[in-house]
Amino acid sequence: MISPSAKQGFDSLLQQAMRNSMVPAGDHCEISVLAHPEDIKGERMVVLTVSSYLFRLMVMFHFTEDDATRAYFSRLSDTECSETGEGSVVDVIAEYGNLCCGILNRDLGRFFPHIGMSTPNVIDRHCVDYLPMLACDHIQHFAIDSDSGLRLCLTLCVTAYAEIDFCVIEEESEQSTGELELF
Amino acid sequence: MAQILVVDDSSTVRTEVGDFLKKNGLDVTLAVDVKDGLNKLKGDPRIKLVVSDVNMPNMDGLTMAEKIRSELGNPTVNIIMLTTENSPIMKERGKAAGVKGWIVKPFKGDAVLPTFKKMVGA
Repeated sequence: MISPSAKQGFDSLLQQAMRNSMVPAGDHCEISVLAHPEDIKGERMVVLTVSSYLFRLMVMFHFTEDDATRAYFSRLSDTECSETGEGSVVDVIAEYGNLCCGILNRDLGRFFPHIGMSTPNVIDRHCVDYLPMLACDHIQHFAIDSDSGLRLCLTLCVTAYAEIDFCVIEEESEQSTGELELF
Repeated sequence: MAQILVVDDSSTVRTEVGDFLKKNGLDVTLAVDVKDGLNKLKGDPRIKLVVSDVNMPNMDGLTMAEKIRSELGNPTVNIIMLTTENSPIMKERGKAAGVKGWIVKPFKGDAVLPTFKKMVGA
C-alpha cells in the first residue's frame, strides 16, 4: 500500500530531519540505515506519532541514560543535562525528538495537508516486542554515529490506511525556523 | 515590571526560553501546561505576553488562546505560539483566537527579543 517512492520519501525526510535537529553544532555525525536492528541497545524510547487520515507513523528514539548520552545531549542543547528531574537527559531527548518529528511533520505537510503530531512519550524498549500488532507497512531503522563514539538509533514505522504515493525531491530545503511571524 | 508567561510541557524549552528572557532583563513566569498557564494568567495582571507551545498533553495552546479571550475575558494580553507546527490551518485558527504571532521551533531568542520587549513595554 506504500509505493517504493513513498517509502524512500519517508526515509529521506526523516534522515533530513535527523540531520537538522539531532546533530550538535561542530560535531561530525554519520546518519545511515541500520542493516541489523538487533544491534539496537537502548533501554528506553521516546516515541512520537505523526498521523493523517491516510497513514500513521511512529518514530522511536532509542536511548540509554548513561554518561555518553548525557554528554551528547548536553552538547546538542548547549546546557548541562542533569541526571533526574527538570532538565534531565530524558526531557532533553524528548524535546529534540519533538523537534525532529516536527520537521518531518512539516515536510510531510507539503504532501498531506491534514496531518497532526503527538507529544513525546517515554516507553520501555520491551514495547518493541508488540510492534507486529500494528501491522506496519514500512519499518526502517537508522543510526546516528557521532565522532564521540556514541550511536543513537531511531526506528520509523509507517502504517497505511490507503494507497500512499509521493516523491521527495532531495533539493527541497527545510523552511526557516525561529523567526517571529506577526499576524 | 510586566511579565512574560511561558507555557510549555517541555522543561527543556521552559528553561531555554525562560533563561534567555531573564538574562535579557525580562520578568518571566513559567507554566507546565494550559491549566497552570490559565491560573497564572488569571492571578497576575502584570502578564502582558504569553508565549505558548501548541501541542501539549490535556489541552493544546490554541484552545488556551481561545479561553484567554472568552473565559478569562482578556482581550489585550499578547499571545505568541512557539511550536514545531507550521500548518496554515492551525495558523488560521490561531488568528481567529487572537494570537498575535507564530514562531516555528527551535527558539532563536535574538530574532524575537526586540518584539517581545515592545509587547511588554520594556
